[in-house]
Amino acid sequence: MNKLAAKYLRPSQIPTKACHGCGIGMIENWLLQAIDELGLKQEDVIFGTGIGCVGRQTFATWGGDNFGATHGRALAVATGLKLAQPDKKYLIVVGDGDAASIGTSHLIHAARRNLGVTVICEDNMGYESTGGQFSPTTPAGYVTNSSPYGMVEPGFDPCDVVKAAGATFVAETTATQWHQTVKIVKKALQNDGFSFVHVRFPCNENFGAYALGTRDTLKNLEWIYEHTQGRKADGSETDFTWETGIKHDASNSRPEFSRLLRDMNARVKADMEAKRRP
Amino acid sequence: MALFKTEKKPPRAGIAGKWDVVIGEDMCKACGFCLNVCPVPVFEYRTVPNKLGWFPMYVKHEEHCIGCMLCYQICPDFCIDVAAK
Repeated sequence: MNKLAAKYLRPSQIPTKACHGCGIGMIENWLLQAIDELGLKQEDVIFGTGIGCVGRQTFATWGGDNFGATHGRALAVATGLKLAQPDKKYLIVVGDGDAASIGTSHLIHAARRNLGVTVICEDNMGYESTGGQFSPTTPAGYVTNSSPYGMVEPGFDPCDVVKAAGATFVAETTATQWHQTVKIVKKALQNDGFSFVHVRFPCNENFGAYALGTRDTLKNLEWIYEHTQGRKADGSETDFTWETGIKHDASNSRPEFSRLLRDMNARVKADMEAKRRP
Repeated sequence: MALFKTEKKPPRAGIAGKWDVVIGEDMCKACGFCLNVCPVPVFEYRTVPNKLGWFPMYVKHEEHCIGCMLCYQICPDFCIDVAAK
């Protein structure tokens, strides 16, 4: 076990529940590196998860406080927790089903309020824990279990949505960009406001098997690498490229939601006190 | 430029052998990322399965490690730790 996992994670949750070659563990390792470089302790961070591959495999792995919400509702629970304990850091690790599909409305409104949480959307481009159905982030044209003739619907970029809704930090990386992801998550955790980091990672068992026709772990991660770089190993261009990097950085530019609400609370209390004793 | 290296060369003398590589073999799921991302021949598959049922990776040539930390970054199961000796 590596030192950071021993320091921050629960030993009972290791070995992880992930399939072999799944990228969730890598991304969690990078999150731990970012947390460690910021000098945060177990009790400073609250770790929230949703449902799905990401929810199942990161659920209760964090050694400090955890919660597991229903599908897509991790941000609703996090809103209440942030209002109750505003001085903690919140790391909400959700999947593409949570963030971009059933929980999009929660995501948009958390971004609109500038709620002080960091959302890590780990995207495996489908509902892989239920057998590999397509999701709103599946690339158009790719075969999945529920789109055997290719995904007809156009894809969907949650980064654009949260940026338009008013998030103060939006970034996108993939599972082959470890140093970038650590730096970006550090910046996201330092932002006192809504931070959204979209990380794409390979699914070996379902997305790989249906869309790419292989369960070879190396070929699946290589596919992610090629579409990050825009070039295949032989030098030809890929069919599409993900734009990675920081897409919007207005850190600490807007007041945070829990502070706004507490300020209003104090103001109203003072007004009522003043009215009560003239 | 591929992510994984198919050809591995032993490192130049003087830069290798300063690192301590540890693998938790009981939690390895044999994805093969560390073996293939490593630029030098360090890792090898075991021929005996671990208790999860996979044939885990083990550190065969620790003296070749150049401390690039790629295996540490890419391991999805928190198995690998690389530290200076």
